Amino acid sequence: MMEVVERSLKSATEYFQNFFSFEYHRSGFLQSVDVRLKLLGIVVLILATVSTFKISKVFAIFFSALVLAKLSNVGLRTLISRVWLFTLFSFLIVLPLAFIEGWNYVLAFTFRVFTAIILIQILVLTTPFNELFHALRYFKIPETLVFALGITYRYVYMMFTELLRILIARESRRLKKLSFREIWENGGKALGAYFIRVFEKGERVQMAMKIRGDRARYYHRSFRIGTSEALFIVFTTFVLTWWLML
Amino acid sequence: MKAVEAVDVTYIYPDGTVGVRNVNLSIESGEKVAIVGANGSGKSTLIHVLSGLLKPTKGIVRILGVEVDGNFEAIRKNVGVIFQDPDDFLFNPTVRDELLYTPAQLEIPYEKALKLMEDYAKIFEIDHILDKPPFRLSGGEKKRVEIACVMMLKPKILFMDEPTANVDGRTRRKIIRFVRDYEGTLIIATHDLSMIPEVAEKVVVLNLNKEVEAVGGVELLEDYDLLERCGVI
Repeated sequence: MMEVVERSLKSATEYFQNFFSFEYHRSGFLQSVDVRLKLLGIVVLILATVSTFKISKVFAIFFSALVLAKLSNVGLRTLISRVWLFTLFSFLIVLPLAFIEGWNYVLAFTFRVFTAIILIQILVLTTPFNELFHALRYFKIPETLVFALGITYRYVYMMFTELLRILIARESRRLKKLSFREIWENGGKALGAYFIRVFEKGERVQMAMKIRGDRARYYHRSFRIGTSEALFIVFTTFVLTWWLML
Repeated sequence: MKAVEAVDVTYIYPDGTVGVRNVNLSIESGEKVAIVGANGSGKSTLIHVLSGLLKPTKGIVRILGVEVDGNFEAIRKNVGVIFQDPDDFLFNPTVRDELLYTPAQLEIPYEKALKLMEDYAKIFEIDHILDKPPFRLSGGEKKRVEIACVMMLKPKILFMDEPTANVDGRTRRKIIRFVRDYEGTLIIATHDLSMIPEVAEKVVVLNLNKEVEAVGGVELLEDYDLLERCGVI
């Protein structure tokens, strides 16, 4: 049983490592849209998704998201592989409400989460992360927040890498079948080692930031409106109009 | 003029472990110094203390005559530090952002920073990976990005902690060539004894008690009794 838990932990670590990593698909419609406009459009679509429980309205956004994904060469399989775990998690969270609010509520809630995460994934898969940070700065999101987000993005990957290393090292040094108690004890020690390693890493990173300057200043880029941007505005306006009419 | 000066410096980590003990060092501007010692002899700690990154528990460190004590802004422009593990150094989403990070902190105009970035990306052969995330690069590529980030600002004093650790032969040669051509003050901690005569003229040997055992020319590297006693060989 515990080995299954360990294996699942390892798979989950690999999954999250992949989820947070930057896999930017270079060519396609959304890739050519200015990142600020794209961010604004996607946020509006997400707000439209989460502000209703009407399945037809959510479906309209979901369908539009699939069209955007297709135009941007983002495969359905890629999208599903990145959202299923969160969707399952939200389904399990909301499941008890089926007995109070009914199944329609549970399905609508899960579908909303599914669609919202698909939209986030479309944004991530069609935009380099550094461009997203430029867009956030353009919208005057506090610099500390943007910087913290950047650091989180960077170090979440590193923390998962560190965790995966520890899990692999544990596996490679296991010479016999361990008892339930031994697995828990060793797991606790590994977790302690993991936190110490991450903490020490953090201290070294802080030193590096100190020497490089930690005032979180970045260069800003100018805004542009071209054909792709105009088409994206028309597309988003059409989807929102459809959403309002349903 | 003295580039770096340490007067009776001791550093003790918060858990009570002694990092370095009673270090007295004086490094002139333009000098090339190698710090050697066994694992755990305090080489990395000494690099961090001398560069102002760690505040000594006891003693004084001066960089270009300025005492390093909460005075970091004043020395930052003149000091470059290359860490042993490039993963500690690189934290931006792409290599391009890494290269532009420090110029932005120093408020260098964008066009100038861009030109610097392009020049150094070519010198360090990283111009083909500018849009890649640094954590997806090979060890040698990460090291080259790290060195390029530091060198594009032309620091007067360069601290390097094990620059040739975990890199392939080609990258090692490139690093040695670059260090040899560097004209400022160089302080390098290394296990790579064979590179020292190529890049340094002065050697500091740390002993197992985390003290400076000897300071001299590269001929110290032929004093096998000394090196063996200090756990270097």
